[in-house]
Amino acid sequence: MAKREYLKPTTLHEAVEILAAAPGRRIVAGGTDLMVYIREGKEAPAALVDVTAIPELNGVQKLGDGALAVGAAMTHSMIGSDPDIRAVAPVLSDASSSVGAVQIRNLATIGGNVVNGAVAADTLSALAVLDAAFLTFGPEGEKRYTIEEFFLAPGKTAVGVGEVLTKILIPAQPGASHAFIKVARRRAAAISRLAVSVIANPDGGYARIAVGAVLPKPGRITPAEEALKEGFDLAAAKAAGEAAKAHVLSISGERPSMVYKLPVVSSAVEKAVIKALSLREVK
Amino acid sequence: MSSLEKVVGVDGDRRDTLSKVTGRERFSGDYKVPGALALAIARSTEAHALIKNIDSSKAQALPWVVRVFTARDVPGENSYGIIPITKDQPMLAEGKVRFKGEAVALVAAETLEAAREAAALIRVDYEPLKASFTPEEALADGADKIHEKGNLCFEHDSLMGDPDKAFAEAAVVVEDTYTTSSIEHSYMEPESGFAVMEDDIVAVTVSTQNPHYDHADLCRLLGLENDKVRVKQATTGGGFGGKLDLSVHSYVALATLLTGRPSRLTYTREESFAASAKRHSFTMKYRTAADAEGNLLAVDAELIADTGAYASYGVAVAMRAAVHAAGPYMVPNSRVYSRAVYTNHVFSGAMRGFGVPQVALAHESQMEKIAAKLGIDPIELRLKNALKPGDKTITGQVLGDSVGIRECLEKIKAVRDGWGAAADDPDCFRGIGVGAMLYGIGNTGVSNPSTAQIRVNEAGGVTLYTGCADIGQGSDHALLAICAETLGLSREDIALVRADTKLTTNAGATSASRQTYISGNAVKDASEKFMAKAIEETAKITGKDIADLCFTGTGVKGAEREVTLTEIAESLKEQGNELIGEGYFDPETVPLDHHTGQGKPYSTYGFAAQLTRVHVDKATAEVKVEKLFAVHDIGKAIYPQGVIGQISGGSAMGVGLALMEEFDHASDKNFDTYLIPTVLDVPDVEASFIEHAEPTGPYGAKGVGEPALIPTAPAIVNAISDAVGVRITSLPANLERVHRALQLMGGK
Ligand SMILES: Cc1cc2nc3c(=O)[nH]c(=O)nc-3n(C[C@H](O)[C@H](O)[C@H](O)COP(=O)(O)OP(=O)(O)OC[C@H]3O[C@@H](n4cnc5c(N)ncnc54)[C@H](O)[C@@H]3O)c2cc1C
Repeated sequence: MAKREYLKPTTLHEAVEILAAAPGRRIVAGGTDLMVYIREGKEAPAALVDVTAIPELNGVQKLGDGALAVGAAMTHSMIGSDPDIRAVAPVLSDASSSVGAVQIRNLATIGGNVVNGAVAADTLSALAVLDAAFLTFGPEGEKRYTIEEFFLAPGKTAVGVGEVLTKILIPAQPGASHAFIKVARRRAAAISRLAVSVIANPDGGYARIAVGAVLPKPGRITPAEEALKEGFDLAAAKAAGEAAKAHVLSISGERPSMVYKLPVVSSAVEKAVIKALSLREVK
Repeated sequence: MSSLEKVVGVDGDRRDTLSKVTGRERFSGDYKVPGALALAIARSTEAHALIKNIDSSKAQALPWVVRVFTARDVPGENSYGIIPITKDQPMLAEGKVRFKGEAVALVAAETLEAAREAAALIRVDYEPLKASFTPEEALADGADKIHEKGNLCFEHDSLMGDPDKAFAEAAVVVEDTYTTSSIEHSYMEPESGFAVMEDDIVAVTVSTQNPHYDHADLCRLLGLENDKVRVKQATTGGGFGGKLDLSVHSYVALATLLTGRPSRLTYTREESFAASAKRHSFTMKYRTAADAEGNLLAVDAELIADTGAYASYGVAVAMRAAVHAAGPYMVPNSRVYSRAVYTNHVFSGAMRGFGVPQVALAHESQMEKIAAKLGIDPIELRLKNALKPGDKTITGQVLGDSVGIRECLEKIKAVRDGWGAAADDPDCFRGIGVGAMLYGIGNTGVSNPSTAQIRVNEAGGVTLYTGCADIGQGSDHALLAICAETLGLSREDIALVRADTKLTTNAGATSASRQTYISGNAVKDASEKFMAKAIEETAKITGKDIADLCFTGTGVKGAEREVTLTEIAESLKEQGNELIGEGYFDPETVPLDHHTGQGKPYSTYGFAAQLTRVHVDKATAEVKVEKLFAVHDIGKAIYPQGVIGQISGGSAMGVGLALMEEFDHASDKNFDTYLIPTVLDVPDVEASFIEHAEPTGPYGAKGVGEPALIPTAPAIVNAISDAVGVRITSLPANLERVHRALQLMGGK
């Protein structure tokens, strides 16, 4: 492996300056995506700029309205065990806890997961149902993106060269119940074949459903949400599953991997809804 | 320190436990080798092609590059292979390449970076040939020949009784076709080794399962006499059969011989995946007949294995699969036709079980189908047909006394009844499944002896010399136990010299579950001869009667004072003799007849049965193995903890075989996409054993290394079938296949 510079700024401004100072400099957090690409020869940054020591990127802040601002450099281990996140967004706690295995979760950050933007990235469906927003800081100052604005295509986000993702904003979810399901070929260190995130609030009359690993970019599945709102019961859960399946089919089409995935979208969405609403005990 | 305690059958810490858990143990790659050249290999980018030209000028011109080697530089015969009749593999491709990843040229450089950069600069002109990636393609008319002799590597026929008549008269006949996947061994330590010149001897220290075989083929490749090559086994981080073939050995030996400088090579994981043996994928067509009571009448099996580009252990795998095709059951009529076929995949070789885990899927699925047809409990059906002492196997071998399969089956039956029916769960289906097996200990129908020596050392104690490679399974511990027990010592009293071709003699391969049984016997023989010689000499020294003398471990007593081993050794030395016990054991076998496959392939067999309970998620088709109970007839547990360890690890490997492992030759480069079970995928294995002492075994022992794995996948597949009511006939039973089964069930 070629030798390259490794820089570790401790303020946001310093980071932005360093990134702009020379071409080919890349942000690194846990490195669990980037180092793999470098080893495979898919990326060859001139220098790595480690953003994990920047205070703004660390910790969870409670905002006035019960919302949370989650630092982009928080590792999946930290997110999985953070009591404030567990209280507001258990779907995210569970999603982060499903990433890789302990060793990976101790290094890998939510910011890296989000900016890397892989189709199968596990936090994305959770962030979609949470209606999360993204704060970045760069040469042009601070920017704020909705999830639709943020994810452009598989592996492509709105974060520009020289920009740092600083925080992920998670609105409060009063009275809602959550569920996250991940399906993979083994129980740890495996990429999702499918992930499902559900937030439902029968009293509030809303439901949010998103799936991971089967759509080009994260986003909610409105027809499934509508179907669930019909009754928040077992029949509605089933209908939500069917609607999600139809939606995925309309976007992703009949690829060979869909022979398995498509029917499972339907049954897994149904199961996630049942789990979220405790319509029956699900292990 | 004479030990009154027994050693055999008693637990205790292995010598390597502390050094391994603290990371102090040195593997080949951990040695400092001053002045060593770094090596890198340029590998074929084609699956099947003629080599028109190799241009290494750019590589050669790079700074720090010392030399580039191609087939032309191989001084001896550029062909090797572990089975004497199929030495068909070149160390560097000659004229053609037969798989993607085959070694074409070798670079030696002062730094690893330079060696790798140079290897990447070597340009090879290829003229592509038609590549075959399945046995069917390879055997089809018009397929390009992979080897001169054609694409059929080996075929084996076996016939007993009159199967046609039996099928015609049978009350039930079940048939199906089963397939299994190609599998990567996935040992933790990749292939690694180094070579140095010791005077005019090329000395290779390497991760290996078979130092004496390595030695012989290195002599052949390098064109050197036996005494000009030395192979030392370094601590080896797993093998599972994949370190029986030569790998880095020949490259470090060649570079060191031709440059006179030390050299070293460790495969990257990607190289290990691309260029090391795989488990043979099999297609198995089975027909099985039974009478109305469930007594098996006949088995007809056609087996075809993808042996890849080179034979490696293909012959042994195809033959062993055929011998074990009927499982641990009494079947009076049988016909088996087994083939190993060359393809343009990386070569398949030995992997834990040599084809038996594959046929076990088939025979154990067939048993379930018969049980279902006749409405007989699957364990009862197995009990009804289980082999007994004195029964004949399908090779016509009359079994001896150590046949514990019935007891294994009785045990799992009791355990199953104890488990009871699993609680109802709206989100999953649960099922219980059984797998049973027999496994011949040692090589199939050929002489495969082991030797060992005991000598007195400088300190006046004894040293055991064995050629047996401990690859992590614990043969050192087992052999020391046998030696200590026989000599009346404790394990700590015995020094060990192991697996070095200069200091030890051939113990054969650490494979075929053979070392405890075969090398264990050789060690016992050596120990007994050592004692006898010591007593005999003491009788001469003291004038006492042999009958009055007694071996104490440190000397011989019975005269006025104890005569020490050192004194005895001195006395013998003065006469030009030596105090030594030279042990030998070769299991009694009768080669298999070429036409009928009849003979006595092994002198003893291990037996086992395993029981699993699985949980199949209705929504996602994920399978979780909730419980696994294993019971193995191992003859005698020399080291009980080691036996349990083997069964637990083997079962974990069996979970991989059953549920997820499938080597995709086109896309699997490393563990990113090639998935093996994690600790979360493996249940707590309840491992146990029974001891049907083998009269010819050391203290009654047989073997367990491979049997550990064999019943697991069939038990899991049978449990899935019990859960969902649809049989999966192709491994692995992955998400897609289980989901398909769920859909089929829904359609019923
Ligand atoms: C063995 C293994 C298992 C894995 N399993 C899973 C899994 O189960 N689920 C899953 O979703 N992922 C998995 N991954 C992928 C990876 O671990 C995650 O995507 C992880 O969250 C990436 O975070 P990181 O901090 O390591 O990112 P890095 O590799 O450091 O960065 C990834 C990308 O994001 C950019 N980046 C990082 N932080 C910022 C920032 N603050 N601002 C702007 N750009 C930034 C980097 O420049 C780079 O382009 C696995 C990876 C491995 C190696």
